[in-house]
Parts: sequence; C-alpha cells; structure tokens
Amino acid sequence: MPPRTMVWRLLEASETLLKQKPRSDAFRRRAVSTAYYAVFHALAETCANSLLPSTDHASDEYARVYRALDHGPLKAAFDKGPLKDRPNLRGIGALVVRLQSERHRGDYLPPLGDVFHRSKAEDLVDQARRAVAKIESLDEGDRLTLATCLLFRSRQL
Amino acid sequence: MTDDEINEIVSRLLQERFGDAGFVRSTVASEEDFDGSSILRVTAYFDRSRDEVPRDWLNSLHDIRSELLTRGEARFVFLDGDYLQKEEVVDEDEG
Repeated sequence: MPPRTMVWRLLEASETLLKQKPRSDAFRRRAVSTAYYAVFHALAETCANSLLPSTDHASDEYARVYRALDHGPLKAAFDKGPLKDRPNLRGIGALVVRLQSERHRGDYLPPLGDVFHRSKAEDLVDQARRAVAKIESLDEGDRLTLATCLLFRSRQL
Repeated sequence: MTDDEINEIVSRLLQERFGDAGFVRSTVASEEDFDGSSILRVTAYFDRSRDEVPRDWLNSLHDIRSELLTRGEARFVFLDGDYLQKEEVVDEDEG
C-alpha cells in the first residue's frame, strides 16, 4: 500500500477520478492535472528536505524553500546541465516536462470532449506514479543536484 | 535530425524494450509545445491491449533521450502508447 502522504494521495485522487467517471473528459482532465501536481509536490518536498534536512516542516524557513519551486523554469532546468546529463535525473525530467505540458492542455483548452482519451489519461497518471517513485528513490547526491538546479539560477562565473 | 531519421532510432530502441510485448511500429512527429518550443511526439503501436503492455515509459524515455542527445537532438520526447483494443469514444460531457 502506498504511503498516505499528500503526494501519494494526489495520485490516488487522480485514479479515483478516472474510475468514477471514465467517460467524462472533465474528470480525465482533472486526473491528469492532479497527477502533474503530485509530481510537482514530490519535487518541492525533495528540494526542501535536501536543503533543510533537519528543519521542522512547519517552520517558515521550510515553507519558504518548499514554495521556491516554480513551474516556469522547470522545463529549462531539465534541459541543461546536470539534470540533462545524469542518467537518474534525465528520465525524471522527460516525464516532468511531459506532464507539465499535458497539465497545460488539460487546464486551459476549451471543452473539446477528447483532450485525453481514457487510455492516454491512464498512461499519464501511471507515468506520474512512476516519476514520483523515482524521485523518492533518488540518492542524496542526486537529490541535492535536483534541489540546487531547480531552485537556483545558474550565473556565469 | 528529420522525423524519419529519429524514428529509425526510436523504433529500434522500442523494439529492444517492447519487442516481446507486442510492439509493432512507431511514428515520430515534431510538434510545438505550450511554450512555443519544439518537442518530438512518439507514438508506439502495439498489437496487444493496454493491460498486456508493460508501460515502462520512464526507462524508455531515458533510452531514447540519451541516444538522441548523443546525436545532437536535444528536443524533449513525448511518448504515447496506441493499443489494440480501441476504447469507446463516446463522451458523456455536454460541452
């Protein structure tokens, strides 16, 4: 049984949406969007835990680092430097970028009725689950690289 | 690289990973992502139902992206599966 953390509950919510109304594109769109947010929170949590390993999660400091992760720079960050080069992080980046793109489609396209067919929505939720499992299984070095590359802009020396 | 050149590589890699799981062929199409950047949409066709195909997309994406990067092709790859059993397309939403 998966842990009852918010990240895994979000994934569970995605699956519940697909099971409840598989013939509703609105439900399928919410399922995909929620799955992306599960991955986003998994990244935010990994970043915060890596940079502040012994800090109270209820503290302002922890919340500030957790909230520092932004959607906008994610794609560019996964497209360069260590996140593109390290084998363990490359596959995660590919899934995150894909899910982010589908989240945009699901959240903003007009009601067309077929934004996500059922099997595609199920595949995307499945990919989100695998991405979360992979993120949570990263070793300390990869977590630190992920945190610094996602949260801090690189400057020319 | 052209879509056809990319598909030659992608098809080989998918065959290696999913050859025993009903992989038949793949297609590659260059598309524009929500932010205006170009992405590669890969569709893998299977002659089996979705439940019979191990959807090991993460490792497949890693294989494909790694191979393409070595050839200078840096666009992100979006991988979709197309399965034997077509789903019912009727949607209950009313617009």
